[in-house]
Amino acid sequence: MNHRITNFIRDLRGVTLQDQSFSRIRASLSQYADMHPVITAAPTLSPYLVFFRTRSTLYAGALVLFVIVSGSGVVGGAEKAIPGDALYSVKINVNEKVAESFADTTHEKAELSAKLATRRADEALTLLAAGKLDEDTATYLEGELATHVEESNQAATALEIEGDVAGSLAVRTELGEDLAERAAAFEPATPDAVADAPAATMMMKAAIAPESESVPPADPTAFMAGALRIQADKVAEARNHTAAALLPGIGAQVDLAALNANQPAADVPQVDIAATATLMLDAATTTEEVEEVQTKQAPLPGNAWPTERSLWLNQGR
Amino acid sequence: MDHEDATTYFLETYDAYGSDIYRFCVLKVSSREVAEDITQEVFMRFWQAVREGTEFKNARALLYTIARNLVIDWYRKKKESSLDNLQEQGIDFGGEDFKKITEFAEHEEVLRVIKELDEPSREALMLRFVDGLSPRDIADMSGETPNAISVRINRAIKKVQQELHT
Repeated sequence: MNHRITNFIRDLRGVTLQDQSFSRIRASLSQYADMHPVITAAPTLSPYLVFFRTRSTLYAGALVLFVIVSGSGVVGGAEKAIPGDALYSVKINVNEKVAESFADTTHEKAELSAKLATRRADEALTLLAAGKLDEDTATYLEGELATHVEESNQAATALEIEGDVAGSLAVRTELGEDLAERAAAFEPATPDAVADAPAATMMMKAAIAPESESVPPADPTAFMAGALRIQADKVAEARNHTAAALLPGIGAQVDLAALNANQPAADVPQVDIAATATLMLDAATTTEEVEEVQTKQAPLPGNAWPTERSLWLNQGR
Repeated sequence: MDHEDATTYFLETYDAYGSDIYRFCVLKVSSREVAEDITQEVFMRFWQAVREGTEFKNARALLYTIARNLVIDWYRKKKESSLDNLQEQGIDFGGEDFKKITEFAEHEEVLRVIKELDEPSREALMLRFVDGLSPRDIADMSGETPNAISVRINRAIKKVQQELHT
């Protein structure tokens, strides 16, 4: 381009907010944001479900729908639908929404979201096998997958806050494994992309639509493979984080058992140390972690008698 | 997104694009104060979108779209005192930076040529080369296809080059 235009553009680019004005606007925006807090919106329903505003009408409506539709086998058939099928929207908007409304406890919610995330991955695999995985579907499934993983993660964190750390760990371990398994199933289809690129780069590369003909076309398979690996890693990381938080916790549980050692067996809180330790051993990633769990777990048999327990504790002191 | 995350995201977006949006506005309204006000208004509206959980693909393109609409609104309200009218009356209330640019003899001709372009071409040219938006981003703003934008930009460049060489 003409150098006069280039210089002109360069000078135009030099036009910026002065520092003082920049900070002033920033401060008033920050204030504005605090005065107008985020609206925590109810999840948006599909227009077809708008009628079912409240949970009770949803139950009633779901029941009616179930009665009408189950006769024709639509709901059952929809369960196996994949994107592109006529029944897929029934599966997403009816079957899964109904399932969500029935998941009442945090644990159920975490498990359901994990299941839905895995489902999206399975749908992508089915489409891949059928040679029908295109860019749009991959983008859609990746978005849904990420949403469900996030929901599951949040529910799992909520579980930890509620005190069910072992439950959170179990959900995360299973989801992490399921996703990693599916990521692995995807990867043989994209050997070149997987070999050298980190998952995020691979995903970006595959996601960015070609601007010119010299760039290779978007690759939905590599995109899905990258997306799955990212989500699997994310879940695994959260799980390891939970496990790390649990390590000092097992010490505390032993202390709790010690406190209760003089009480009758029935009054001792049922702390299933053996099961917790097994979960932790699964989750442990370093030898140090494994050893730490083993030292804490080993001397104390699962459900020893209170007297034996206090004996052991006294001997230990 | 909870409030804290949303605020952080919002202010980061401002840090990243605040100056770009200001530049876009100041080049259109030629007044520092008005441009600053519009910039602030742009981000307030952007915050409304964030807090309501509006889904958008591209924050940057959204910001430019809001800015563009606000500038159009401003012109509608101030029709009688548009830049050209005021400059004809000998009033130039452009910011110092803007003055510096228009005063450069070297730029006079480029400015003249660019002013001769039709508004969509001028805007596309500026967004592409000054603001560094991709044709896709510009297309998202105006609701046209990226291809149409690319064609428009190429034609505008050719026209400017031809004009400068004659």
